Amino acid sequence: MPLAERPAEAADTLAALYPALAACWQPPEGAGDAGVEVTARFSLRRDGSLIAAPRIVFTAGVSGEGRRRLARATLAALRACTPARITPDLGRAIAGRPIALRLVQRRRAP
Amino acid sequence: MNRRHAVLGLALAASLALAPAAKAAGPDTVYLDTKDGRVTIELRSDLAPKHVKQLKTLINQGFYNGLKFHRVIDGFMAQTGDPKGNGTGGSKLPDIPAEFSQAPFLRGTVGMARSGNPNSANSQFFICLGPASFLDGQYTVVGVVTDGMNVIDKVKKGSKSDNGAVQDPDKIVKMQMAEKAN
Repeated sequence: MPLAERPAEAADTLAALYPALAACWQPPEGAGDAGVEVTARFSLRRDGSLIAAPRIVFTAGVSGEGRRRLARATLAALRACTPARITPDLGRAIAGRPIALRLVQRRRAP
Repeated sequence: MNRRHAVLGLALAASLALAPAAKAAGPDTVYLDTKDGRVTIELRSDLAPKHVKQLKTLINQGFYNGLKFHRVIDGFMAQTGDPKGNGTGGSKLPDIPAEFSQAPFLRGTVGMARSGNPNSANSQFFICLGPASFLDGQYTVVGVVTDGMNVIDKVKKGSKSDNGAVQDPDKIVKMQMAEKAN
């Protein structure tokens, strides 16, 4: 699903939650010729809000200052897309549990 | 008729005989218009039927109209077909399984751009400005420019130091199947 399309309905499954969380993510311009990858680890409350700041646990395609910019952009995106719209059932299932969200931007080229 | 007219007549006849016969537009013929003119592309449905089918679908939807030549490297290729204009975008249609072939990448060859995944071609394509044998068998050949390479040569180039990213890039004005052309 294209990252920019944020689902209109409340997520009832993890498969629906991930694109809702990713919808606000836009890697910084110039971040990696071949594209970038970042994994953020965090937990949500029942209402879809973040429990503490997410941690960036993996990046690829960037280094040094590029990595720092990507990390800042990812953390800002997660803050922007939370509290996530989730159903009470999903909220009960995931509250306090660790979530690892992998975000990938691939450039196509020869 | 005097001798001068006869010589001129023979010269004209010879030039007409030597000029390549214009290929009639067929079901695989595409017109790509830029501000500098028309490029005629013959799609290779014999080499890459799935890619050609998707290209035709997108062309008939008007998908490519207005898209930028966002990455152009002098002597190498001009890349386009990305609605995001930065190499990361594609269409709503699914990615296409690779259809690599023995067809070489020469000047005028049209190939499909992809990420590291061989099966990630979607809508972005490139036109070779020069031979690129290092792409042979690694990227899907989808067509060849049969007329108008001089138009592609005029597409604004990007900086090699910036991986070909173009500032204020030229665009595809219109891309259409020749049989439906107006």
